[in-house]
Amino acid sequence: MGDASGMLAAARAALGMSGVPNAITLDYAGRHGEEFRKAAWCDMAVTYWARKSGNEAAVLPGGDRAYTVWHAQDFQKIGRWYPGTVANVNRAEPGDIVFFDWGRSDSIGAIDHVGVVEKVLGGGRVQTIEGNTGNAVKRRVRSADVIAGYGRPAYKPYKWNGKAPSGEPELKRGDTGDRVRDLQSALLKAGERLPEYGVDGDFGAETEAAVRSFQSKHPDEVDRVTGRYGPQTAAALARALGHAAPDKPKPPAAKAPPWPGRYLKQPPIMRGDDVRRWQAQMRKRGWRLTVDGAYGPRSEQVCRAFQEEKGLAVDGVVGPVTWRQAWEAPIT
Amino acid sequence: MPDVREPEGPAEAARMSEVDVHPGVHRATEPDEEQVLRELYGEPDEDGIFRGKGA
Repeated sequence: MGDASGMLAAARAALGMSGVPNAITLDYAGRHGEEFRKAAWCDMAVTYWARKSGNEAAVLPGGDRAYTVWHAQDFQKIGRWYPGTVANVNRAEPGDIVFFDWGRSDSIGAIDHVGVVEKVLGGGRVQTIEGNTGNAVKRRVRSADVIAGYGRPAYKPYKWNGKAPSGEPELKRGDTGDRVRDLQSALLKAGERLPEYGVDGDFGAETEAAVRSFQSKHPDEVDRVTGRYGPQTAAALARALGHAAPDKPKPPAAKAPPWPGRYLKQPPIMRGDDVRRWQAQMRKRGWRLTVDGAYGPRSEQVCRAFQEEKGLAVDGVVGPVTWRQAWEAPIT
Repeated sequence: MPDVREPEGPAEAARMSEVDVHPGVHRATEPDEEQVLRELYGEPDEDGIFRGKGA
């Protein structure tokens, strides 16, 4: 995994774990000594989730931690520590490691507890998952009043792949992670709005409203406006982005006109109505190409990309097969 | 400030009495915590854990 969503998935999997010794303390004791079997285990939990999700380097910059003060200092030393002011807490992100001092001191030396941010609630509050709170792993709501600060792990950066995410399993309110980021990015690309939170990886009310808005605009493809993102909405969103849904490729637009009888290629630049006709068809298929009747470098570039996409011989020349496929191959 | 790379083991174990000490660790510190969690995740289980459907 190696990202914030993996870290949170590991923490969620431990919800309800209680008592000592438990899997978390035994894991830590196995590496650092028997005295940790029944020790206070909030930071051992963070260590455990980081190791389970492949996030050791990001979450544990100083190595395994059970003592919260040292863990906070680890983040401070690498310049990834943010004091627990209201403004900073509002800028926290899911996956941040949040430390508590209880006395509004924002002093690292006063820290005695730690958890992981699952949601940022606004108003200087976050919703966390914490180990050893009431002797169990639980979700909590905490405010800047009790937050000393948080460490920002250097998780793998998120990058959208330009596609609508799969609709299975269904995405819905309360979900978090990179699939939600993919959905949010795709919704924005499709013209929906996320004015307050943007691409934050958290399927909240704003994302739900955007999904509803999108669904209401595609009644032919989506049976019901639910605010949930399932296979029908995924297929509609993929088509809105210019990609065919994986399970339903678009049919060919038409039967190809006769090949003009000459190979379209460059250099030198070839001109003619046959070039214009091929360029117009490629534009119709979604390629960015000027329809000017001149087969130059950009036309060759599009030709090569199209040939590669369709599994044809890639030579940048529009011959009989490439010509025919421009009309008859499914748009993907 | 201790060296973050020092061997943990006994040195860290000696500090563990300073972890999870404050009463706030074990209780809600926001008066509407239960309401917020219920809105986000639905009803808690019999142990009071808000798991949510996907958890």
